[in-house]
Amino acid sequence: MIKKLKGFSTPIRIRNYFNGWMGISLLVCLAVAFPLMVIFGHLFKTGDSSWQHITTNLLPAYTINTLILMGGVALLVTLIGVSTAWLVSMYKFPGRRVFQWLLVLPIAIPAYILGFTWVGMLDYTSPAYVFLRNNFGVETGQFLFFNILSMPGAIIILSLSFYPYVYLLARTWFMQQSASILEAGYSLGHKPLSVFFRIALPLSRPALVAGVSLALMEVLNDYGLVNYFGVDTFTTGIFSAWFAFGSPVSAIKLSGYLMIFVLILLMAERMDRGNRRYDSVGSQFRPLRQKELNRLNGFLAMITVMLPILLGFVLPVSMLIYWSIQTSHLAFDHRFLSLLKNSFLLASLAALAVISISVLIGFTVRTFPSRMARFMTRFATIGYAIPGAIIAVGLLVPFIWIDNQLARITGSAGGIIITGTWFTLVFAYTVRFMAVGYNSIESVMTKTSVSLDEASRSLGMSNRNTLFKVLIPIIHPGILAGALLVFIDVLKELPLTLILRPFNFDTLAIRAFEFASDERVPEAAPASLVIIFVGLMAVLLLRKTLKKQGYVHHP
Amino acid sequence: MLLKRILAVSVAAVLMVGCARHAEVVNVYSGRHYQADERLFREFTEQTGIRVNLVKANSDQLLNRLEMEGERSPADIIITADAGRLIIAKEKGLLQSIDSEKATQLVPSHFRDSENFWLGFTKRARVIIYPKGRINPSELDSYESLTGDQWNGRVLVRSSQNHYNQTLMASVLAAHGEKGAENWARGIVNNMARNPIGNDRDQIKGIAAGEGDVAITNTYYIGLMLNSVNREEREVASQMGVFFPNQNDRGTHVNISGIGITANSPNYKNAVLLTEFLLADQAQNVFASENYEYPVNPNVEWPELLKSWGEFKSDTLPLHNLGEFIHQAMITFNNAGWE
Repeated sequence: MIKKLKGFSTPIRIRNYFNGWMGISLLVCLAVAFPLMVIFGHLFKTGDSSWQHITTNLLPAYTINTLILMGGVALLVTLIGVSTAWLVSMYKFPGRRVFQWLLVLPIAIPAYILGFTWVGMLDYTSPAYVFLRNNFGVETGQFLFFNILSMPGAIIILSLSFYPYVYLLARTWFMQQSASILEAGYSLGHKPLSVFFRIALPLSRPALVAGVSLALMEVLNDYGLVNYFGVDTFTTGIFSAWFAFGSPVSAIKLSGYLMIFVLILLMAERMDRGNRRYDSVGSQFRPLRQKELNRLNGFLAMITVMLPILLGFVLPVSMLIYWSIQTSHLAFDHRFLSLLKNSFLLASLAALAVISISVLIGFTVRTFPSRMARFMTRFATIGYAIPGAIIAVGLLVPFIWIDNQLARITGSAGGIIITGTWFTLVFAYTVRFMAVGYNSIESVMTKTSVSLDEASRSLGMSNRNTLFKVLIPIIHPGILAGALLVFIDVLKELPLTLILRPFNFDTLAIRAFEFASDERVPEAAPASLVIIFVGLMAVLLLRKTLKKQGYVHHP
Repeated sequence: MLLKRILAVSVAAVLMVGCARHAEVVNVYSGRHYQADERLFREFTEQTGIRVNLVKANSDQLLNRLEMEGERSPADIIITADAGRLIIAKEKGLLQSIDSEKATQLVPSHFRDSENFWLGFTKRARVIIYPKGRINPSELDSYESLTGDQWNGRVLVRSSQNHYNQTLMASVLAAHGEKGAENWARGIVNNMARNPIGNDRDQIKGIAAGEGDVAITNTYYIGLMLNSVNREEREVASQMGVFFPNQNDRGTHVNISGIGITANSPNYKNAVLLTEFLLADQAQNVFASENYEYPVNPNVEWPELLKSWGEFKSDTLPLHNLGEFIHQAMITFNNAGWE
């Protein structure tokens, strides 16, 4: 694509920069990126005395911890995500069809709830430990087996929460691979493992990178879990600067550095991938046919895919159900329904906003590729790695300014008009979750050959018709997958909702968090279960749509 | 179609929020999220007709939001579960004096600001928890005594990120100065049974599991655990004794949940009414019997559980004097290597 463009004359290159699509995309990106730019702007402010103390005494340890955590999670989510995706895409074994859906489920559980639940399952007063202690005299300190409140514990819990990002994207990718590529590998004498490492893995790289980078950004963003587990990360440092040192300036400056770090990571990946393209040029797409496994291998495959489902979903959800039964008399009051409604509406609105913007800028970058366009999208999607509480600060600056202007124009002495409304919240989610929607849409767009667009245009279709009549029908499943991920993410979201919500406004996640943060984990269970349940409905909905689209093959 | 409906609903929601302003209201930013609080707010509305609008979040974030909103902020009241945050709020000019004879009478002077910019409505003692039978309370004495060699590898306490520890440190700084406080923190770090992990409940469970022998926690966690839905947790809590440290010198460190009225409060009169309501017998009883916090109002009788822990002498250094130490607290923790 890039090479081809270099041959064009200057006017076309200029047209790549100045046209309606670019203009609108740029405006939208600017709006989304504005809170981030506010944070960025703080980098150049001079630090106070706390800043001095934090950078010299705390930052080195925080940075090292963060790198260890990221490395551990990256390794584990890749291992779990890719191996399970490969197994369910390539082989037939008992329960495969059920497992391929069950593998997505842990995504419906917020990481901090998974953490609290696992601690509750292993700690001194947990049913399992009590049983083992009383009947078999097992004594392993405060926690069963190993001290879960530690770095390894945090890596395991975060990986169990976030591997579905990798799994989902890798599986979609494998499913869309033409069987002929892999068969070519076999016919050249490669063994299955070698086909996996030499063909499938390199080929699935965009999906893999998109998935792992989502997982890592979630890790960078997480505060609730690492704080409870006693792992001091960069994000803990941000909050420590703010809460313990009372220095929001230092907190925002640190977030600015975090943004630079993420930007460099993303750019490095882009540069490394360079101009390689991953779309299949051949027209003879044939769906994969799963290979039969013998009994032993089938059993091993089953165990492999069952393990993350068991640890990331079945066991914790069973525990939550057990707790919910214990506390049901406290939980289901008259306000529960409004919690559900609020959560559901917010998540839908945010998914709609994120996906519309993602399709718009995704298509613009695809149609008018330029370095500036790509940088613009990178910048607009970086909010995913920034702790929600910090985004809130960046967001309040422009919103309160607008409110002040509005008040001046209308001459009202009254308070605040748009800050602290639904609109603020949905806008905040859009800033925060752009990456989720955009990455999945970009991933399917990369997979769809640009020659389709070119064919459409050469037949006289306008850009708009190319997008709506050609591209969107093709990438439909990717759009839905993106919307689903955003929906679930917003359902689980906490820090932004906490600080930006209107008066008297609660969501399920807030209800769960309030009990959990008061150290009343069992009471948090019913709301957690409903979050998970609504998330599951979203997964089912997706499945139905994918089936209609013919993306699920039933051999 | 769906999109239209969603838009309509959200517009309606925005308008509803806008209209609600005309009735008598009081707007509360609260860093506490107990259901008992919300029930009391509803009770207040029933008694006075004043609607309580509530946003609950982390108190530091609420202070920041208040600061950014400036003079147009809708908030009338800020509630935090820690005196340190209110001291900071006053420093930043976010509060104004609470003009109430009643409140001044009900709250002892060391639990409120010298100019009544904020006042405590519940008290929370940070004590030493020990296993009855395993440890004889006569071995215990003060926060300082836990640094002695006999406690090596036996002390459980959570991380220095925690507000309760930070305000405790401020009180130690007030008592011993920077050098002395750092030595104290070093002594505790040396005697820790493990790196600081988990919350206050986890420290208590750590004792039951034999990982340590004493824990520094707030008293009401014992109350919450005694009333837990988990039988084993009730069992653990019933084995624990509560020891009030420093009875022979300055007294046990007591923090507060406090309330302040914002500098630009649009409904000042209602804010004062709500403050008085929270200090009156009815609300004070609820805090004591449901959250197991100590009532700040001396006229209110303690429930049985609180009585069973016994009377104690609390640090009478006025909490507002901790202001000058609160900023140093974290630095001292870091210097001493308290994670």
